[in-house]
Amino acid sequence: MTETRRRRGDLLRGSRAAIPVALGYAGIGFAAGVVGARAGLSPAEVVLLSLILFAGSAQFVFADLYTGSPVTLVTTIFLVNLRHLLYATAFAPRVRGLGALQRFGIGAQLTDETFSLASSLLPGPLQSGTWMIALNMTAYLSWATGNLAGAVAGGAVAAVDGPGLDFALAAMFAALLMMQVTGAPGGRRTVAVVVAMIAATVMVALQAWRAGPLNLLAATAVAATAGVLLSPSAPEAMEAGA
Amino acid sequence: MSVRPEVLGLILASMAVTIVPRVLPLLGAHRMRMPGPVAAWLSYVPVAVISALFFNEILLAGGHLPRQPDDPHLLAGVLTLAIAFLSRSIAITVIVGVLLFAGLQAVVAGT
Repeated sequence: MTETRRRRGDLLRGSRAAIPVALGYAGIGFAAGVVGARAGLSPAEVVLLSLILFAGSAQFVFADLYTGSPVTLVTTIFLVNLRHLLYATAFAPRVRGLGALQRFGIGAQLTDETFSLASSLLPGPLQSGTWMIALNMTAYLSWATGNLAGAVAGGAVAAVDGPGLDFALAAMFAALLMMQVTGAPGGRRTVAVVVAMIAATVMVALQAWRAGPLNLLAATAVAATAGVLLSPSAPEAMEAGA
Repeated sequence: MSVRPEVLGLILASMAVTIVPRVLPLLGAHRMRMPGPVAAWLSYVPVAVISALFFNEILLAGGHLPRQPDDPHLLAGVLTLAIAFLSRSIAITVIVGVLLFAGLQAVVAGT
């Protein structure tokens, strides 16, 4: 009885926490749907792609590359999504107490945004999986709905250019960047800004030199290493999920 | 509303290589021991990734660095960052950012 009530509360709180991400996903999902439709994918294929893959940048890559070599497509998607390995590793301490099925479900829906949001909101390890699964599902359904709407609209208005829609992704990253920097605890805020600047510089330099899916991992690795070296010596108790 | 079998195959293959890195660390979470420096390193991953993706998006949208100072991606990107700072809202930032970009693109195209 009490257990049921607690689960219902977690469900509501998780869904509510996901609203900003869900709103962003509706917009970016719409853009992804339009891009997919213009690349020749049917609305049903776009929806399947979003439901099965559920990975924003990988879906843009998919729309771009699916008519070419399958090996290139799958290899590029693997490299583009390899960053999730970092997210899942960073998030692992928070799910330590959960069952294998819940840990699998939470991992399968890990994205840049749900990872960032949950990492910022959670004070420590999850007591139950319900909150996180509700957050993930809200983002997931919004993403899929946006994809469908975009795929339908993109096909219908193919002659009219949809200016600005492709910028939705950049705007989302701008908001998340601010969340990350302003959300960092006091002493680490400056370090977070420096880490962000290093990551941006390395990424842009590498991309301008030779664009490739591993540039993001390289930029992240360099910047995170700089962050550790610049960190105040206080132990990272919260991040370790202790 | 058709699904081509070869497209479905590509989607499933893409899912397979995506889900493994997503799930593997969480499945081994209860056995994972994370030394302090590693945990600290991982804590900088989100801010680094997001910053790299954002600046890549606004500086290299055309595949090369902007050749004009009135490049819509660059201008809208800087303004959107300010909107993000002021609004602290993902939804507002995305909505205003997209409108701003569309407006700037129209202005630049019109001149």
